[in-house]
Amino acid sequence: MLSEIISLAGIGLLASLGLGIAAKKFAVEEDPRLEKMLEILPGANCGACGFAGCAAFARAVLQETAPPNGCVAGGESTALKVAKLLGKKAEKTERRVAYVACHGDRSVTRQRFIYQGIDNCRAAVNIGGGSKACAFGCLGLGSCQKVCPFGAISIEDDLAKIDPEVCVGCGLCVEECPRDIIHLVPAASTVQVLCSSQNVGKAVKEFCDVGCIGCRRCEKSCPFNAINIVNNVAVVDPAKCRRCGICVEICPQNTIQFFLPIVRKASINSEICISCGRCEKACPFNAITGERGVPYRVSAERCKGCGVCVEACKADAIIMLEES
Amino acid sequence: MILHHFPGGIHPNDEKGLTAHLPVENAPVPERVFLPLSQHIGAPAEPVVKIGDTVKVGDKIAEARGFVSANIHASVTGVVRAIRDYPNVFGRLAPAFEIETTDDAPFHPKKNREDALSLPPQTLIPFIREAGIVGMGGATFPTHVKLSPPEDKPIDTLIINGVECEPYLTADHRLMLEHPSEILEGIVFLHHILGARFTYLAIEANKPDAIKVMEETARDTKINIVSVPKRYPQGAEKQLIKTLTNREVPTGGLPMDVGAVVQNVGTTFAIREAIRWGKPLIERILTVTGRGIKTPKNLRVRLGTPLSEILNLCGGWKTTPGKLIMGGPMMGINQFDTRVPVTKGTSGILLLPRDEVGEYHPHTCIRCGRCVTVCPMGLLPNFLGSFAEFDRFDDAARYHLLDCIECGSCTYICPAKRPLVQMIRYAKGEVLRRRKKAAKK
Repeated sequence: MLSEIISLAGIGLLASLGLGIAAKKFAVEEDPRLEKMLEILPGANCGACGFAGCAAFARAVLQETAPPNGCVAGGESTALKVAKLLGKKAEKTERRVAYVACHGDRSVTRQRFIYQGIDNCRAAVNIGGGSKACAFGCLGLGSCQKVCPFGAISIEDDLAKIDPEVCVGCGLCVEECPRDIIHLVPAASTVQVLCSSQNVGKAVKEFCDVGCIGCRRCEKSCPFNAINIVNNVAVVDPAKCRRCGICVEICPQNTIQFFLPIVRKASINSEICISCGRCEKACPFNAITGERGVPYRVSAERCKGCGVCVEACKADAIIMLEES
Repeated sequence: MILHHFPGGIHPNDEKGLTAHLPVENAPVPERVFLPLSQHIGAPAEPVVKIGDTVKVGDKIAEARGFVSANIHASVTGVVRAIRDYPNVFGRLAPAFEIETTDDAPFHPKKNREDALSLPPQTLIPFIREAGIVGMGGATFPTHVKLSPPEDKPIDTLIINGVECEPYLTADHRLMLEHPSEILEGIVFLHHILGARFTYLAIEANKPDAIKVMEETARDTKINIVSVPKRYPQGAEKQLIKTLTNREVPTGGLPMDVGAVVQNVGTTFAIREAIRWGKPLIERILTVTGRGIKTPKNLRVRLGTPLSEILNLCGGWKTTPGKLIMGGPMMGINQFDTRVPVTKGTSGILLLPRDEVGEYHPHTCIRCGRCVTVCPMGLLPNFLGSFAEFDRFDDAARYHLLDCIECGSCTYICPAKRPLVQMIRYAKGEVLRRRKKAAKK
């Protein structure tokens, strides 16, 4: 009995000694910052940075082959933390989000045939180009939902919907979509055209109740020339768009919608206002009125939040107030 | 002769009785034909006529671009009205000629090459290429490419494929009954080009009349008329080579790798017309069949005739429409637009009534292994399907995914109603897409 205990304990002791020496001798030198960096990174291994995963990205940042703000999924807060860890200044990153340029769900679109295959958009388009009559519409079989590592995509009534609050803009769904109707846009842009159909208006009406028919009413009504019809579908230029929402109101098909519903209103500080009247002239919606000598006023009803008056004001008396 | 055995295969009801006894009728020339620029595997042809040009039947209107491509000819005499996007067999839009018919005269040959056999073999291939002939069994691979094997791959076996194993279709069957001597002449031309030692004409055992007619016609020749057992997919190229020669085409290879060339009887007939009369491929025989059509027919149709014209000619739907298939029930392509034109690879039009079309929802694989026992390529469709389902494309490729011939036997037999061919086809597309992407990097 005693000899067994001694011999087993002896083997254990010997093995632990060997392991201890090996651990010291063959230890791999790792940058101590790597572990900290991995704690900062989201850990979803989405690959949007262009590296094989979060660890590969972290090593690349430490070797200075990747920028500190390279993590798309983490966004600005992660970039700041990474930069702080490295003792660098983070360059500003613009948060981008994906959206599906189609809102034709089962109830408003027509089918060409009954599809009985597997739930996979890429496989479904091989069969006659997909069962949805519109060749530019979302198939709603959930290929994008499957690749999203953040659970931002849901399928409702054969239509993919992306939650802009959850989406981090990694772009995996953009690549997966066989119809190429998922786009990455700056999160600050608020007006989206929820249709990709390049068909002419008559064909669109045949296939779908809510598609862009290319009527050009948005193009004509936009005070900033920010929306144009290209290939029979409205396209918003985010650089010019002031999110006034005129196009959202005028669209007969309800195709143009606010993305993140933020309401902005101009507000004039009466103490600073010099009553010059420049804002009144600049406002495209006649929302500002006043007389010389008296501070000008904004009609909350008419103001669309375009912010033109802010630029026109020489006294910096106007600010935009946001209300969700 | 001793026949060999390929693995697997299935025995669907062949349903050929609907049209096997009906002689081929000439369909009237339609008012307008629509000829897609791509009716073959390979690069689309390049138009050589302009909108507004007057063309005569048999005139070349588009030229092959590259080696693996085929010429397109006007199938009617008329005026080119447009070159525009038009629905194709795959349910998409693709550029096509629209020709308005002004004269329904048939093709009139300018020459009669009675001396073709005295010409050097290689000089016959340009006649075939010029005529725009492609494999008419459905694969539409340009024929002149098949007949020009590289020098390190000698051909010793020529196989003419009259098997027609697809259920319902009888176009090749009728062709053999009605034009045996023309087919024979085509075989002689092919033999002259390839100089093969063995020449076989394989016909499935369910066509005894065709076997008898061809045997009588070929009595004084060295052509072996072989009756092959009825089993699907007996008419698939690789399976037919195995049956007749016991040679197996290596993975990723072509029949020429084992010294064989396989040509469909329809193609052989077209080759004869091209060499003898200089007649390009402007019409073909197809079977309009199924219990959904009022009067099933075997028709000789000008290429580019829209489906709607053919359906009208055969009396239209008899019952509630279920499926409209271009080709046979196993490998054909579902259609949902009757504007789609007949092209070089259209061997049949099948109309299935609503009550013959099942509605299935795929289950998980129950691991019964029936798909493995029927796969004629000796693959494991159960694994390939599951790999495709979970996007494990590297694993699928290791299991020889790309060797699948998409015959549909596994889907036919699957008790869990899994759409295995669809999954495999999807995985094939993804594997090739990923390879292309990796090659770019």
